[in-house]
Amino acid sequence: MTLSIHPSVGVARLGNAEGNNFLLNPTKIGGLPHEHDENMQPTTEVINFKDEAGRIRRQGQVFKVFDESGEELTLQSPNVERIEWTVHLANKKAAWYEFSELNGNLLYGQANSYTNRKIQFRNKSVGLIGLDDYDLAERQKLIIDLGPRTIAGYLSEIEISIHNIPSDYTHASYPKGEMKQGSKTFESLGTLRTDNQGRLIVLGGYGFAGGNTNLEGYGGGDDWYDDISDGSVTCVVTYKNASQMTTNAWIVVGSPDFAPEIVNISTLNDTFFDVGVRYFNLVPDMYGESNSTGSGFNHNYIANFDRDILPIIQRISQYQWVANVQSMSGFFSYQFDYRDNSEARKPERMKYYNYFRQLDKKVIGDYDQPQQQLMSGDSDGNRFPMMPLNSGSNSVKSANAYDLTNNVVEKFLALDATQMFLLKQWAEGKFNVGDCQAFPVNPMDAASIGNCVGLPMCPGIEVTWNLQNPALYEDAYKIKHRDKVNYSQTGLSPSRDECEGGGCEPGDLTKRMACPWQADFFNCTVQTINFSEPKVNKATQIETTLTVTNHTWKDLPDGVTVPEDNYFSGTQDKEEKTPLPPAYYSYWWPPQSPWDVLTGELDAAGQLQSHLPAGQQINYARGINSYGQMVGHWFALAFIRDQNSKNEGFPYFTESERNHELFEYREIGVGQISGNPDDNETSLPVFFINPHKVSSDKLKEGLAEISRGETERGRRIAEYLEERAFKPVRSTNILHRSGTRVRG
Amino acid sequence: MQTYDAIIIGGGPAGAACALSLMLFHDKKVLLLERGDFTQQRIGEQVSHSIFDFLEYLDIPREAFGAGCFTPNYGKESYWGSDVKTHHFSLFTAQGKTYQLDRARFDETLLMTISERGGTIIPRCKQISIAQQEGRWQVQCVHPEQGTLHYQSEYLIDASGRQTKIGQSLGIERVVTDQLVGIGAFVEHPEHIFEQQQKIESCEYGWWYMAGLSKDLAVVTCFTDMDIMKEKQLNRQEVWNQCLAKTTAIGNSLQGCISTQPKLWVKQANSQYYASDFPEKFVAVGDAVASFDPISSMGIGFAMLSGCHGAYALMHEQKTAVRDYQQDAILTFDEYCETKWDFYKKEQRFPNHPFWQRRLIKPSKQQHRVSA
Repeated sequence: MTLSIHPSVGVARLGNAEGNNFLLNPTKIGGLPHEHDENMQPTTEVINFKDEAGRIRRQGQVFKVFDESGEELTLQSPNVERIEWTVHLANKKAAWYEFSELNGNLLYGQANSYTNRKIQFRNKSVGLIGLDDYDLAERQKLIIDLGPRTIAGYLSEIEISIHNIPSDYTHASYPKGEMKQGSKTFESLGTLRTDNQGRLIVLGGYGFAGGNTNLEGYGGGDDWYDDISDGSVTCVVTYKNASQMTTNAWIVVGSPDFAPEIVNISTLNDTFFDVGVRYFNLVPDMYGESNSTGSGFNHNYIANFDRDILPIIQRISQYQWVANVQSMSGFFSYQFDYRDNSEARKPERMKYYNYFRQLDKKVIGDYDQPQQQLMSGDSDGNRFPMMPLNSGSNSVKSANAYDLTNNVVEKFLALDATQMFLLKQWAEGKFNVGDCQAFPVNPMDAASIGNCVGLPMCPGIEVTWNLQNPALYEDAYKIKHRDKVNYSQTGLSPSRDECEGGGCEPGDLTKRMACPWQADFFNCTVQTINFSEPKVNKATQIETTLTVTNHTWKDLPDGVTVPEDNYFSGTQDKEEKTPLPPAYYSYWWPPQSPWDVLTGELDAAGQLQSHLPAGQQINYARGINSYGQMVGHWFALAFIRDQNSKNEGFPYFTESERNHELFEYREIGVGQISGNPDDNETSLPVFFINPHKVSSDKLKEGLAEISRGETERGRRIAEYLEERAFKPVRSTNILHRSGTRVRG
Repeated sequence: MQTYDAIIIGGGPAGAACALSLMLFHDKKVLLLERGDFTQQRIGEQVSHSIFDFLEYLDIPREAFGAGCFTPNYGKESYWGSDVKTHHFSLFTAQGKTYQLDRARFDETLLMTISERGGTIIPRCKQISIAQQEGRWQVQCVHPEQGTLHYQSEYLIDASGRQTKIGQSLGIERVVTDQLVGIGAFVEHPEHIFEQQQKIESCEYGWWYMAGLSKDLAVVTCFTDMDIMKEKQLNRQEVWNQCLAKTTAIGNSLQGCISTQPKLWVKQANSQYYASDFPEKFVAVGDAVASFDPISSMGIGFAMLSGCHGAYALMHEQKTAVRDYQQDAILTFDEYCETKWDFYKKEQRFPNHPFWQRRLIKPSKQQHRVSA
């Protein structure tokens, strides 16, 4: 008899609200998280994502343990004496390699390993003792590892904090002292709780993100830390007869899901399913070593429209609420009956299917591949940006970046292999509709990771491309834990690559993500991608100003002529890495990191505070204008929520719960830039944070930096007091802003 | 028009203490209007230990003011009546510890406390005018960005300082007993250590005062009468410099210093008080109700005291409470005049100079014009 935990990979989400004010996980893909009662039982769908102070509530993940027959074991089960959960979270980001797109991904073979690609560590000077020679004990100290915590019983709680590190855990480490930027001091990776039946609830961090350097890239910066984490979940069930059984699972702590009802076209559940199908015999009918059509996918497999195709269509239809991808509209317009599997409809289905980009082969050096191609054709009247119209997993660095000549480039997105196969079966008419056999995937396993990004992975939002590698799995949907290792004696490895096999350590699933996560979240929502040169993404643009100097002569007596004299001089003004034109405006993961959204304030007060009418499409991140501001104010962003969710089929997604009061608003007349006053009749809306008007705490922080006697002090105080005094007076502002011509 | 329980005009310590009292003990919704924008340098003053009693009364912990807001004094060097240095203790707080106050920090903490406790403060209010209509105070002012603002309230507090025009506009009589002005500058010297230095030195036409504000910053002021200043042109930088150079002790200790601002400032420092009845639902506090010669070091202490007492009197059921408060203020003023006379009298070297002649006359008891 064996036990199992569901979800097999749980997903919690961090938040900066007070620790006891949290939500519980959604229970379906695209579902909302839940409120809970005092027994920690889920009640209604989330009422507010934020607390009264505008801070985001953490989202906990509930884990349940089941016996072989699928019966849940709780403390109420007659044969169960005790259920003990042990969770070991870690954050290895600061110790791992710099993020360098697809370099290091062993699915491209050993030649693509970090070592062979000569990718450098983050914090590369820490523990350096010789050329490429590191003291790993020093490197290990870069890991945030507070050791495991164990919890059991009813309604218990334990913090995973720096103050209660187990005494026998000898290799604990975490960032100590006060950070110069962002959050000041690190305290905790999260909280474990049990409900009134002994189920586990894992809550992640509080949004700590602090560092000592300026952030400049989407991968984050040296000497930075955040409280994202992942790790092992182990459950020991003790039966009344004193026998014990053990099983395990995994937990990933991600950043908030700001649009939980909007689902990525390719989710992490699709990734797990694809790996399960192709490597772990999850659906033998669909994919097997030998089936009626040979090894690989069974081309006679009968797909099911409602199970396999409809979710893709629905997800495509939802992108419009978070991104402007109008060309996608043809894929949910039902211009023919998508459910009709007749031969007569096949040309239309095939046309639909053929607009989907085929997958690249995972090889180094071949650039003539389908994912480098943007358009379906290049003759007039036959031009369409192929599906999914989205960035691929490396639309950033060119083949010759990092001093290499053969980086893997993957400009545009393709569905994963299994999604693509099922779509093909549908196109060919090999599908049925209506009820069908569900895949052998526990719905809880699908629901947790189904709300995470699956593609693209650059690196992604929650986790990244290592989960495409079967080496990380023990079985379909089951993360392989590193075994025969006693972390309390050895600590976690700062350099071991789990993609080489041997199972995962805590921290391995999130270590490739940006550090802090806000860096990627700020920078990566849209990407302009070159579509003409398969090997090139960004290139260095050199801006040179040429000056022509002419010398001519006048007021000379008749007949006296002097030849004209002219010359050019050039000054190189700047060099900048920039997408090589021609390029196409593409998105990364709009359901996770929205970009074009509708305003949602329906009452006068809300609109005055937000400075916008309802129903206007606007840039989601408006007002957050730097990496540093994203680090400080990520929680001010809105949650995108379906305001008509009780009436399925008629979605109406708008912003909600944005912390408008943080942001200042100005309309900038174009004339202020052009110098022509006539241009001021067109104005641009500008949102920004006035750092001195944030709060009295912020004010005091700012004042502390100013020495006494300086007039700057007084100016800031006056500004703060006026801001507070005139908030109600602002209601005299005008609502109309017909001059607004620019979105975002 | 927005309505408040009380409008306080003036955001110095007296107005702030009054606002805090009204909020803390009487649960009033207050609006404080301030002329300035807090960017002017304010001159640090001496305060006695009693300042902490007022802060306790207003429920503000001393730590809220930050380190360095209150620097203990160790007496000051005094050259008064002779060229020989003596140890001088503050005139009105003859015993006990005194502190040099960082005025900017002190004022700003009081105002921030008001704001955090829900009071409204508007800086940069110019052209404040008031009227009482049907038992309510109507206040109008002009803000550089918000334009003309109107507010009304049940109570009005005049905390607008020495140069207040509020009393005049309400027909309250004011008695001015002298024409003292201070002409001063902030000076710095990168290598000097001014901290905790204080010097006072009398001369023919008045007296000089210097106090270290921080390691390398000090304030130097020449106190004289308005007419003498005009005659000697002491408000001209070069004259002021020459006069400073002629002083015995202060000039010496400031050699090589440079002024932090291009112009000298001139501030009234005269003694005065409100001498006739206040209108209903009105009280004046701080320098507005009575102001004192800076040599007394009474300004801040009296501001806090009158701010707290003024609020108490204004809220008191007994209608005579405000009158009693005002009489107390005048009594304080009388006592102050006696002590001041005693002090100025110690300088006998310049019997022929009008500055000293004016101050050697024994003060007569002030006429109480407040109805008993």
